[in-house]
Amino acid sequence: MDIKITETNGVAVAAIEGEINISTSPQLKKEMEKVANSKVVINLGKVGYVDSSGLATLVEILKKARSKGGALYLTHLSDKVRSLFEITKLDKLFGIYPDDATAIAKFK
Amino acid sequence: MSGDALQTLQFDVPSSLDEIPQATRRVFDFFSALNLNESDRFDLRLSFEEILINAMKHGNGYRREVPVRVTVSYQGRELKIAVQDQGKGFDVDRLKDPTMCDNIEAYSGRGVYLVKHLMDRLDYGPKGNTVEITKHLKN
Repeated sequence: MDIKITETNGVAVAAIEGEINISTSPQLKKEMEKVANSKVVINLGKVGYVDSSGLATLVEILKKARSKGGALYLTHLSDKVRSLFEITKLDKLFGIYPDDATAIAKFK
Repeated sequence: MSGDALQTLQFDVPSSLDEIPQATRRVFDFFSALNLNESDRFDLRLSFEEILINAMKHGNGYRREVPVRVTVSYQGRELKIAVQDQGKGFDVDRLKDPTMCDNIEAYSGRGVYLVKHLMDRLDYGPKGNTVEITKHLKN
């Protein structure tokens, strides 16, 4: 898994490439713990596979952002990855947007 | 379908997460003649890995030397994958619905729920330490 974190208008934007599964989730959690921003966007455009451990890790990152008064928005979900959020109803928990610019604008 | 012969593969997987990619490759190599589309591959991979991880974790306690037995079969367009661990089994009725308000932010509990929705059947053996998933391919 490759994670690139940039900042735009005070929003941390993490672009992830690879899979978010039981083996890679600890790396994602560790990298995101370093992010001080409360407003976070995770771009899943290059993530082709997420398992239940990956979903759980994203929920943990969301809860951390909320605890700081912020939020976590997700962007560029593939149809299959989005279907996992819909089945588990996590699409009601996260803000899910088509692209980073739209997600960042929602924080304003 | 009745004219199609039953094809079966059985192998053991050490209870260690680093064994998952190889186990998944073996399953999909076995299914290669079926020309699975990307959507079915995604659903089958996720479902297989979820039940395999559960068997390794909850059944065998991630003890590498204690294997999970994987049995894969297909007949016509019906695919089955069964995993058997060496644990005491568990009561599937105790699983909570992860979509309920009280559980939606919980860390765990989504794996089996996803499998139930992605597969056509999810069956447990009487002891609770064998899980079998069934998928009917649409095309």
